[in-house]
Amino acid sequence: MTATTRGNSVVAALLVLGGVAFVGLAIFYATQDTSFLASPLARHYKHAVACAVAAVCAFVAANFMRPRSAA
Amino acid sequence: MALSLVLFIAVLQGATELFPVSSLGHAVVVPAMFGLDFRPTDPSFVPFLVLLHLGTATALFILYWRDWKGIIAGFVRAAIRGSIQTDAERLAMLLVVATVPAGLVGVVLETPLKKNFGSPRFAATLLIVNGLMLGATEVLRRRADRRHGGSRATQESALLPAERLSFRAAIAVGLCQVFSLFPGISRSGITMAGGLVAGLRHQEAARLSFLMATPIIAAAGVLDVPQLFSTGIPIGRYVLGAVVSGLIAYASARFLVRYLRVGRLDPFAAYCAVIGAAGLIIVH
Repeated sequence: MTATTRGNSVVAALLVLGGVAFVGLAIFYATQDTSFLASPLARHYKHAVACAVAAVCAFVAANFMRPRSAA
Repeated sequence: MALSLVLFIAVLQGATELFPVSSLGHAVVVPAMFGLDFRPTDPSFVPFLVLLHLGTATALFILYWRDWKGIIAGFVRAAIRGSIQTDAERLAMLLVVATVPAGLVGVVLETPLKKNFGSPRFAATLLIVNGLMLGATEVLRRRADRRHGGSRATQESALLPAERLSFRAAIAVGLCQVFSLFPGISRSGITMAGGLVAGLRHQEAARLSFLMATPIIAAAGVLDVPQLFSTGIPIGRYVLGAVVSGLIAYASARFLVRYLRVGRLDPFAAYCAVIGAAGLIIVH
């Protein structure tokens, strides 16, 4: 017999979605010309790194939030 | 920039980075007070400071390398498993939670925040605020210590190590660190104050503060150093400055951790208030 011990599948799913969005943003900032934004810089590598870090954090948080089964 | 000025700024940076007195505030206020040719508006100002910060981050990494080995391994284990089982894993996750706010705000608001570097009077005012904040923290801590009674060593031993900090408190300390992006508010000061209010020992508040500072300082350094090479400045002198800054920072950190076994932040609070007031009077 198994029972869910903790976690929240909805929050975990939202965190995964957030992580995927951050990955997309990181790729966008690293590869696309974003001079149409407020800053005159063509590439925003710092923003890309920050988004990549945020994505890792979101995936880790999702792993913590996923429901587990205990025997 | 002359070698003597590079070394002066390096010593100033190394000595003030880890003491809770705001190195950035000093880098903005002190050259203005003494009329030194080190203008915050220079394109190489921020990259040079970042290079000095790399020296500091290296010193901190060496000082806490045993902790970092456990933290890195603990982060990987806990992230994969999805749960925390050891003190090292808990400390790793506390550091992640506490580091992310300032990291994200620093990147997103980098340009508007850098505009504050051009105002020594603003930095001097914030140095006074920093002193008041440290003083207020010690007032709060003294009240708590009176309840425990006993000697200073006994009072300190009754309090928490960094690993026992709650995640809510770690988020609060991380949010406090955002204010250190303004020149004059000390990163180590505001995070130590947050740790003390959350119930950490002085020595452990300093340890947490230094551990929180290392990834942010190192990341800022790595991301900004390419700018330094593009401005065509004497890189050899600047690297020498980074080494000097690192050595001074290492000595400062060791002194501070030893001092905080029974010492308090009051002397730093008074110093910040005095140097901030002097800056306001002298700088026009």
